[in-house]
Amino acid sequence: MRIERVRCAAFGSLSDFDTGSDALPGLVVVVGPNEAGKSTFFEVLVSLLYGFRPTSRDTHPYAPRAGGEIDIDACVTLDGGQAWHVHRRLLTAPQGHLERNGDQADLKNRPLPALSHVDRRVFRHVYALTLAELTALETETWNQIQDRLIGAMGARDLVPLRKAVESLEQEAGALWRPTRHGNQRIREVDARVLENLSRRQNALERDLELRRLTQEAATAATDLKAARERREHRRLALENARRLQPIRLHVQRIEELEKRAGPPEDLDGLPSAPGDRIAEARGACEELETRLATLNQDRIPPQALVDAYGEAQRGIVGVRDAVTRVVAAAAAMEPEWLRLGALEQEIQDLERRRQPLARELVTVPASQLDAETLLRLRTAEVRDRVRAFSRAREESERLEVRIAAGEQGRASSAMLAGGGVGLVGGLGLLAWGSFSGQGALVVAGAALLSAALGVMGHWWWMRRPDGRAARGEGEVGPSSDARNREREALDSIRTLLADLPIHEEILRDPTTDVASALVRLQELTGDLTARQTNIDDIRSRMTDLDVEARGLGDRLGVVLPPDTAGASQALDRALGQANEARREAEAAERELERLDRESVRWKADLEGNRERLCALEAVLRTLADGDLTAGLKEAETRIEARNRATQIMDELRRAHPDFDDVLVRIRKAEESGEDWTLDSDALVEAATELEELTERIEELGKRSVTLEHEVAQLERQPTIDQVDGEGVALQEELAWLRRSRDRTVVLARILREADRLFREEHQPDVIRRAGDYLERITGGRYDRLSGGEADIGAEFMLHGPDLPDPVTVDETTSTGTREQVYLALRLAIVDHLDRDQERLPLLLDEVFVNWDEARRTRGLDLVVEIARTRQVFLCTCHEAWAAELETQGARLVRL
Amino acid sequence: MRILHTADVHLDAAFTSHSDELRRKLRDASRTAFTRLVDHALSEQVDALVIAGDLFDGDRLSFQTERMLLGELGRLTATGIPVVYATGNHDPGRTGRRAMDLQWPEGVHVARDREPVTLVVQTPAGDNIGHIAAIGHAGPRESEDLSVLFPTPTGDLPRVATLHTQVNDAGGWQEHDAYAPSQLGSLEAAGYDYWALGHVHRRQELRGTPSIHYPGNLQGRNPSESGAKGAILADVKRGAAATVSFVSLAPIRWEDLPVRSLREAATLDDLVHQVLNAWESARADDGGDPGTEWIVRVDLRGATPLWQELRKEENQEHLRSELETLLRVLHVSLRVGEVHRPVDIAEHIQRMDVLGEALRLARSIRETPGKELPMEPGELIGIGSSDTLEEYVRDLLDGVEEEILARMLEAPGQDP
Repeated sequence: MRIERVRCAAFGSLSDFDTGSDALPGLVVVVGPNEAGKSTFFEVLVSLLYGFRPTSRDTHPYAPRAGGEIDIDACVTLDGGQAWHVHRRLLTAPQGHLERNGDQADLKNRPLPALSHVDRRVFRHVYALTLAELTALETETWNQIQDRLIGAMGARDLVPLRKAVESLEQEAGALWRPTRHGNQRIREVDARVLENLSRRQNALERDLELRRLTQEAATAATDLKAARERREHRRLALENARRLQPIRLHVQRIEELEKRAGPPEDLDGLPSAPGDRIAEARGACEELETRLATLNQDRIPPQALVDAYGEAQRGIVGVRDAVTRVVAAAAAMEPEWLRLGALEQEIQDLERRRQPLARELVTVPASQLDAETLLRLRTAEVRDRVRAFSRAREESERLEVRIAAGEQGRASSAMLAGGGVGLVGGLGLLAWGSFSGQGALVVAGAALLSAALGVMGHWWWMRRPDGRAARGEGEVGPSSDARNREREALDSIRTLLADLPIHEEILRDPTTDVASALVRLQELTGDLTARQTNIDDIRSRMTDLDVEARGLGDRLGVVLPPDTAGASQALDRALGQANEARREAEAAERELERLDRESVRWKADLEGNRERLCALEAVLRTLADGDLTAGLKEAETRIEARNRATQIMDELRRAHPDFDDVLVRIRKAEESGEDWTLDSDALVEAATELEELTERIEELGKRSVTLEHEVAQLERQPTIDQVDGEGVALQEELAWLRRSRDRTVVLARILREADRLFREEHQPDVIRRAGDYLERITGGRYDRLSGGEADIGAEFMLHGPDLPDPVTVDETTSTGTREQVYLALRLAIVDHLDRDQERLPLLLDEVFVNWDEARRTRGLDLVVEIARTRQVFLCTCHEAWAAELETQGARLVRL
Repeated sequence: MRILHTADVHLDAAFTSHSDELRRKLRDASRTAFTRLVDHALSEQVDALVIAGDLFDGDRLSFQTERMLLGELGRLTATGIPVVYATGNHDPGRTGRRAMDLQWPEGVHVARDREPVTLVVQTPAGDNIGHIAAIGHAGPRESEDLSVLFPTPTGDLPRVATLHTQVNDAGGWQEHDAYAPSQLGSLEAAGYDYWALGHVHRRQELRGTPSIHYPGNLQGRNPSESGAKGAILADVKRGAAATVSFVSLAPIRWEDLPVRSLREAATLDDLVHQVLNAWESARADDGGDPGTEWIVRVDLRGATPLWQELRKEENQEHLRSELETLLRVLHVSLRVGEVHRPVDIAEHIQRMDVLGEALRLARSIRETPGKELPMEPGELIGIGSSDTLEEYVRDLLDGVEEEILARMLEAPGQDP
């Protein structure tokens, strides 16, 4: 492949870069000072051939700082003569186009199709040889260089194989190695496995020991239980002998006494002292009989009182309400009797006052005057009519007087005329006086005028109707009407008084005095009639009361005095006596009832006492075949026995608060057939055994505690399964470690084997080619290179016709020679990599700087020769070298 | 007839852990689960407790566990509830074995060998309500199909068969040794209404009618035995499917928590967050019973920028401890063996250098039968007696390409 033209619009420090329209030859010398852009130019070539990396403009290190896009355009001719036109741009994403044989292909960011045999990494690492890389040889061991050159074919992204293998072998050795020197993890775990096996054995033994101890503990517990039971048994026996036996004797005494007392039901109903009870009962009977006799005597007086309350008194008491009412009415009538006399006196006085008045007004005596008619008279109307009559008469009389004064009317005309003259004269004087200024005339005129006006005013008044009436003008008709009204009024008075025999002269000229007298007569008559009515009423009621009192007297057979008041008092006294008798009889009845109740109770008591006595005696008789005396004695004996038994029991309970429990134990002991009658030797023996048992129990208890403690301790220790768990974990770890170690060993072996295979395949060709190059460069001093075929670690050796022995290439070799060997190997690797493939351009950057003149000349000659078959870009800042190469057909490209 | 069906209690199983405390808790959890089993049998007033083998893990039953076991069974039988127990390969019944030696309480009916034991189950009033037959393992390596030895059932009462067996069609059967293997078809045809099976630790229903069930083990023992563990409560009817319900009893649960897609985790904090998310997501569907304690194995796999940090033991311990606190669980274990650098193997395997050669060689050995590394068996110390060198090496090479890349490539950042 030859790059014939490269244009670059912007790429790092390169801007509008163009190698020119003439096709670049096989050797291109890129001339420029340091930092002129030779590395940038190489990056342009890499990007042209393989695409952009990174693929983002934002992160691409060669993106133009001043903006703009990376744009590379190139013409390429392949080894077979095909001409390609390549155009790549880095926008937001890489773009690439390839034109070949008139066809357009979208490259995107892929490498050119002819480069598949050398990837980008290898091209970068192998096809560009720089001064910096040669300088680095000083710091790198030649073994590493050798590995990189041969094993990695120059690639610089690999850890040296030797280093990787050593690392793996160290790791494997840290896990396990055949010798026991140093720490080896697998052997450590092996030791822990052995330890675990020992622990497992211990756990097994512990488990057996645990079972044995548990069994022993169970036996000890059984023994302990048995000893405790035996001790309890003996303790009870001792207790029975020492404590329960005395109590038991008392209990036995109680049982004997209860036996003497007989069945309790035999003594049911018997008092504690039956003899006393019999005497007591008999005395009580006698006393009750005495009381009953006395009680019968006590009944006589009250019975007499009851009997004394007879029928007559019961009758009075039966009508006591009527008698009480009559007595009360009589008491109430007493003031009215006193008033009756006063009323009669008042009637006489009224009659005396009425008689003269009657004579004045009526034609009959007062006693004959019909009181009702008089009282019906409407005296107020009489008075009004009399007044109306008086007014009518006065009017009539006044009219008659006026008619008599009728002539006086004519004088009024003259009055008018005189008034008129006076008026004119007055006005004239007034006017003249005013005109002439004479005050006297004015005054006179005014006076005259006033007088005239007064006369004319009087005239005018006289001309009015009332004025005329006052003058009696036109009153002849009205006078007749007044007289008619006078008569009509008098007639109405007569009509009103028509039922009374009023004197005629009064009726002809009734006056208001007559009306007043009539009113007075009417009032007196009314008062008289009212008092008479009152007297009649009082007398009527007195009569009714007297009749009722006497009726009661007749009915009850009580003799009454003739007056009503006396009769009433007699009735009252009789009622009082009857009530007294009744109260006494009632009190006597209550006393009798009380006495009867007492009698009944005492009789019942008496009966009860007699029955109890009989019953007691009957019970007693049953105790001695009907003999009361013997029965009484038997009963007293039995009761005494029972009381004694009770007394002993009470004492036992006081002395032994747990007596019931004690009794139960006594009963149990009796039921168990224990020997209650331990003698002293037996007691000592039992006490001794008890002590021994106690010691035994204490011993067993301690042993049990010890065993429990030991069991608990063993149970806290790891069990077999726990130890096994750790054992399994260790085995698993061991297996994992072994596997890891083996895997590491296998991995190391693979790397070694890969290296061996790679060397077998590639190293001979590379070494041979490198030897050829080295011979050219050194002018035949070294004509062959060898080494490295067998295994890694084998060193490169230099051979030459003048060398007695091969020379090892190592750090002692001169820098120039090492660089020449290195360059020869790199050139050989390049040839090896693209043998039978497209030959890719080679970049050499100041690689001859450290060489002597002769070898540099030979080196440059070699480059010229290589450039015939592989395009070479030689970068240098040495113008002389550039000029020299230009003479050999190289194209200079200046940066 | 109501039965409580359990199996594979594995009392005194060796719980793998370097922590004494954790092993003790797991052992106690097995005992607690068994006590809960008895409590549940009592509270449900079952007619019988059926144990289908592997009641304990081996003859090295500790004295304490033995005492607990007999005490709990005695507590149950004292109430009149019988126990039918068929021995399994871990607790065989041959003379001299522990299952034979134990002083079983009255009411515990043990099937120790091929001789069927049949219990007529009765109500407290004495009415017969069903039959439970059982056959046990006499030795630890029973190879015959014991299911064919069960008597043919007769009568109208429901029948239960109890057996510790490897049914070859059961899920997860490859995880267990094929002791007393049986065929599902023969169990179906045997005429029993309910097969109470044991041996496979994963709970599963093999058939509905007749009902054939593995209850799984009572308490999980390792991360592969995750999920709720317990027993099956079954109402068995004659000629019809039993009504079954699972009863969760294990106080400790194992959880295998795989966490993939680690490329985004740039820091250990990111990684912790990712694990927390995975945990919460898992618990959203299955929160466990109240009071359940968890032992979690966090399995980190795949490419991660933290691949180097995760290889350091101190970082692993720090991460493990932090997760234990954040997840609020009893224990967290980490599996980080399969994390690797985020590189593309395909990109490197074609390289014309020793790295490409090594990758191609490793893949070739792993994938090409007969291709071997030039090694002697004596160079490798972990090879099992049953493995050939070729098989062992091939097994070791699982995931080795990532390891080669990790070891051969320079640290990130220097890559062009």
